[in-house]
Amino acid sequence: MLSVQSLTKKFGGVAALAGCSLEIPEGQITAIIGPNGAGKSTLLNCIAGAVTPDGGHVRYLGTDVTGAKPYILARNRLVRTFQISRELSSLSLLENVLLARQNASDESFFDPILFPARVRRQQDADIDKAMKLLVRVGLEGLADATPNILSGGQKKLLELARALMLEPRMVLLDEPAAGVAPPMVQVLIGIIKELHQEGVTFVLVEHNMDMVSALSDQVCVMAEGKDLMSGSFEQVASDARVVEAYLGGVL
Amino acid sequence: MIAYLTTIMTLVSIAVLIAFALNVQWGMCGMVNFGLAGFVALGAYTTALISLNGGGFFVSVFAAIIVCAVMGAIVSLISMRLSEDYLAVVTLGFGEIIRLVTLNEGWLTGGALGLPGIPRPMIDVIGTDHYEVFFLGICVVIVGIVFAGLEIATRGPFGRSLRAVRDDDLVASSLGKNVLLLRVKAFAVGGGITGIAGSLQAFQFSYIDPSQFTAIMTAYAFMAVIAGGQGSHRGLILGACSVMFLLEATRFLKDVVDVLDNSQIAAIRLILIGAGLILLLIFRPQGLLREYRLKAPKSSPSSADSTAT
Ligand SMILES: Nc1ncnc2c1ncn2[C@@H]1O[C@H](COP(=O)(O)OP(=O)(O)OP(=O)(O)O)[C@@H](O)[C@H]1O
Ligand SMILES: [Mg+2]
Repeated sequence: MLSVQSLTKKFGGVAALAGCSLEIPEGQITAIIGPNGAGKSTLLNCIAGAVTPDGGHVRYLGTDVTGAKPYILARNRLVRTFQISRELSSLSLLENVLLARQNASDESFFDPILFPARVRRQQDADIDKAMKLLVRVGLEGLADATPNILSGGQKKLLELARALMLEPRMVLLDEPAAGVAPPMVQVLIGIIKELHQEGVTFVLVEHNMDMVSALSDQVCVMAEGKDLMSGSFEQVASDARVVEAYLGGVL
Repeated sequence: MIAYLTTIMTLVSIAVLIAFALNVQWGMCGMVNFGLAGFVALGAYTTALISLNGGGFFVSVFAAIIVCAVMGAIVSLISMRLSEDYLAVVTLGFGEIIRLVTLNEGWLTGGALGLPGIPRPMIDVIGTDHYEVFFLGICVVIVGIVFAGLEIATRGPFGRSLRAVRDDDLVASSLGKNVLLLRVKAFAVGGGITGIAGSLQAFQFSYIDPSQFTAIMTAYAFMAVIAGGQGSHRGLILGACSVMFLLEATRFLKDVVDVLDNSQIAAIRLILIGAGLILLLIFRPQGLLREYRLKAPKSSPSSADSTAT
């Protein structure tokens, strides 16, 4: 569904990606793990169009999307969350979620003036959907608040709700569990599993090994900007190279 | 006194329109425009040239809207191609170019002498006695229409998308919003509104010259938007009225303190406005009113709970 071929990206002298290749099969949850600075976030940024890679290719649904603008990918139902949550600070939680709806009239100045009834009906349906998503992540009570009052974990949950509003086919999650309390991590795992059953494909960058082992169909290990190896969680966890590069004997 | 009030209110209407334009571009979408006066001048000269050559009121206003909207789109596209940070420089440069063209291309713009004799709409029907009041009526109706149009258009998805671009363009883009298109649209919509303001200015004075479109016009718009609250169309009406009230009220300063001469009074008026704005920013940094934010439906937490999966 998504394939990454020898991506490279340099920031100044630092090679964040040094020829990283990856296959993400449709309908699966692929976890990407690796030490800090391995280039995981940069990889997601390159896939989602936030960063233009120096070299290599990204193919999504059979088309080359290397260097495509993020909104092109989003409109093709590929959505990502950010490692450091990025909320739209002056929009309410409800508006944050609502914004992700995919509707061409969103960018029309004249539609609401010319077709008020249609725009209103569409918006009411979307509000309904957004509120349900907020309920799903337990933030419905704060729907009218702005994100600045949220805790770090709540912001992560808001990002997830926002991503789901887009009705994605593929979701790139950058450390969704970072800072989220354990009971809420379980909720998070539940939500991801549900969506997985509905056929959504996930790429999960995560340091929380409980989450990785609970969710992943396939684990891919990155180190120093390259894909080191991939396999099932058990295979990866017992591989000597991985232990050396990353786990340092913790597992 | 009535005549004075009528004139002031007409000028406030024009200032409000310019502030509306800035509010869409900067207040909602986060794109500064230091060339507002240039856009207003472009609209005024377009209107003047068309109506001096026999075009009617609606034709010349419509032409001004189109010309300024297209120019807005072009200016924003140019700066976007350079880099988004160059908007301030590009708009400043645009304003300067318009000023130089109006000043130097005498064959078209009449140069420093300007364009006199712009026919005021329906003056032969209304007559000169009550014309100012009639024209104020036109201005107020137009402000009302623009206000209503903006409220309707920006309370929904379009306004939300603009605010998202202002807050974080990468997030907006990652959620499927075409950021470049939205920015160009914001500038075009604002441009169109400055075109209307320029038209009204031309008809109000029936005479335009480059000295009417100075940086202070741009500054008033910024003051109105800042005082009113970025993004709030209602707020900026209040903001524009407050700024104009301060400006006009201080005109009577010289009756109260007679030790000062006129130029001192003029300087003091500006100082007072600046001080007023600073006080406002200290005590109400978000401005008089907050921008519109969608409210969650009242009943939904419980009903949504039961339907949630
Ligand atoms: N915008 C940037 N400018 C400069 N250097 C960057 C930038 N983004 C990433 N880097 C560098 O690229 C390398 C990879 O960073 P990246 O964020 O992709 O790592 P990561 O695998 O996500 O790490 P973590 O697990 O800590 O999130 C790091 O050395 C980082 O310093
Ligand atoms: Mg990272």
